[in-house]
Amino acid sequence: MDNSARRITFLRKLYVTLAFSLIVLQTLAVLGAVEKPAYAYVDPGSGLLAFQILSTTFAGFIFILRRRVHTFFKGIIRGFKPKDEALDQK
Amino acid sequence: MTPTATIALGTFRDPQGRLYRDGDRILREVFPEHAASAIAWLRSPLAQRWIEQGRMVPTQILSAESGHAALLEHDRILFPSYPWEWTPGQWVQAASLTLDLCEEALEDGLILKDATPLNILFSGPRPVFVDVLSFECRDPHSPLWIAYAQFIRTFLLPLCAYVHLGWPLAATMERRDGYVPADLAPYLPLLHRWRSPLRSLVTLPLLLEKKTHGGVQRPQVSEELSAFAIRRLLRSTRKTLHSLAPSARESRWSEYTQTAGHYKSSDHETKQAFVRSALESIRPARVLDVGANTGVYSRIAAESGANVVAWDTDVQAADLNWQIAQREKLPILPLIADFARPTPAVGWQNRESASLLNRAKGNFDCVLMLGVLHHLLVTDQIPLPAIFEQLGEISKRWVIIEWIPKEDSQFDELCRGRQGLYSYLSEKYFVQTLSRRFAVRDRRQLPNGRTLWLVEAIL
Repeated sequence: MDNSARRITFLRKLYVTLAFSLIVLQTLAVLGAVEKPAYAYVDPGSGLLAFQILSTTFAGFIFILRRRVHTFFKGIIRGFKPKDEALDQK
Repeated sequence: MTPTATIALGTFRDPQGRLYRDGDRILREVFPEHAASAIAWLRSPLAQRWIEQGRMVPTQILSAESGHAALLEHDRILFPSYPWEWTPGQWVQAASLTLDLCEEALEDGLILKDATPLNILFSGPRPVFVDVLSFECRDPHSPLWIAYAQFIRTFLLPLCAYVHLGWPLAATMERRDGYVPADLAPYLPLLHRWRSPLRSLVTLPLLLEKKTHGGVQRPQVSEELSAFAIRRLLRSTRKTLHSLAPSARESRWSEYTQTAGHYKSSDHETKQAFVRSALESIRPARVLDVGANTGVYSRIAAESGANVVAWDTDVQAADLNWQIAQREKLPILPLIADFARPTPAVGWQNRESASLLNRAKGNFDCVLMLGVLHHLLVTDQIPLPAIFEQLGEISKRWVIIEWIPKEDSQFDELCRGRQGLYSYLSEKYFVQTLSRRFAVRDRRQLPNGRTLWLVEAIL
């Protein structure tokens, strides 16, 4: 067996090993995702609290976005002001 | 948590205090370490405003010495009721009051830490917040309303189950802490689960519950963002509540008054005239209307100056009665309750929430029992002497009762071929039985053959 044939065999083995590992990992991930917790021990409010945190995070984004938009327009309005008026204000 | 619980047992869950009954008085002890803040809160303009508006139970401070427990006294509510006896409209109204108070408390740097229907009683058709220790100082950096999950479990999920699955609201008697998303999820069709509001009440929390069963971190943010987030949450929760407001459904009894073919208008008029004149002559302060239906006679009693509690087994009829009472500001409290199968005592040691009869006994000056007797005798198979015995325990003095002869078309229909079983039920037997406990004061025969009786308890 020459070098190129040996390299092809090695690459094939590597590909099979990687593909197999990925399948195992994927299966584990799927199993993990559908694993059912022991419900008797799950805090009944934990999902609702997590949902509240999720919606609060969304509210945070809106809050920041609103503030940026506000600052942006405020900047534009300030930019339109005549220079002498801006100086007077100083 | 509520004065109702004290009828049988003092409260014991609240770490800040306990509520108990002393004779006819409803007292609340606030433990020493929480006394100062509770007194400051009760004296605040916000608490005083809510009491004046009738949204929070009037509370007097009996003692408030520094370093000692404080003692409070609450005004008594005429008839304590539990959420499992409320109509759908009352549920929505109680939930709305909870959100209103929580939102208004934010202005004063406070927040509601308990958001359960058990913190609310009804005074007439109006909800009143009774757990005065449920407000605490808000962490200005926390964007979370910690009672949100409890509000969803105890208010919105039962309403959601009622609206989307048809589960009776009365079933909440078995769930002190309401439902969790996992209770509803298996019964919701897959596509239905992703529609609003089920998506945010059931599906997403359930998915997140599976992923976060180790607990979650509580974020800290700026004061401005925190206030923005909580107000937004309350706004969206209110929107969800309104989307769950049940629309009026037609039921077996909700159209009864208009469709009762065995009553001609002259019968209705004679019956109403008799009840009105009887009530005006006896002037009762408290009336119980058993089998109130949509409340025609409850309203006559309320117009005569009485505070009325109206029991009916039909959810839609009772809800209609409540809506009219609320709209017209009448002192009527409609409840879903069954005279023949009264709400039991529930909770710890069966003593946390008092039974329907425990709350009713000796609490009324007059009981109205119109168009009900044949249902009790035939459908529920309660013997007539037992019915009068029960009436004697509930009414302190008067009963206005309608006797339905066995020849009546409705009586005949209920018998379903078993007329022979009830052949003994004559008017003579009726008078003989009632005479053991009551004396007849007035009688009127309706054109349709039924008779109305005003009877007084024999002391």
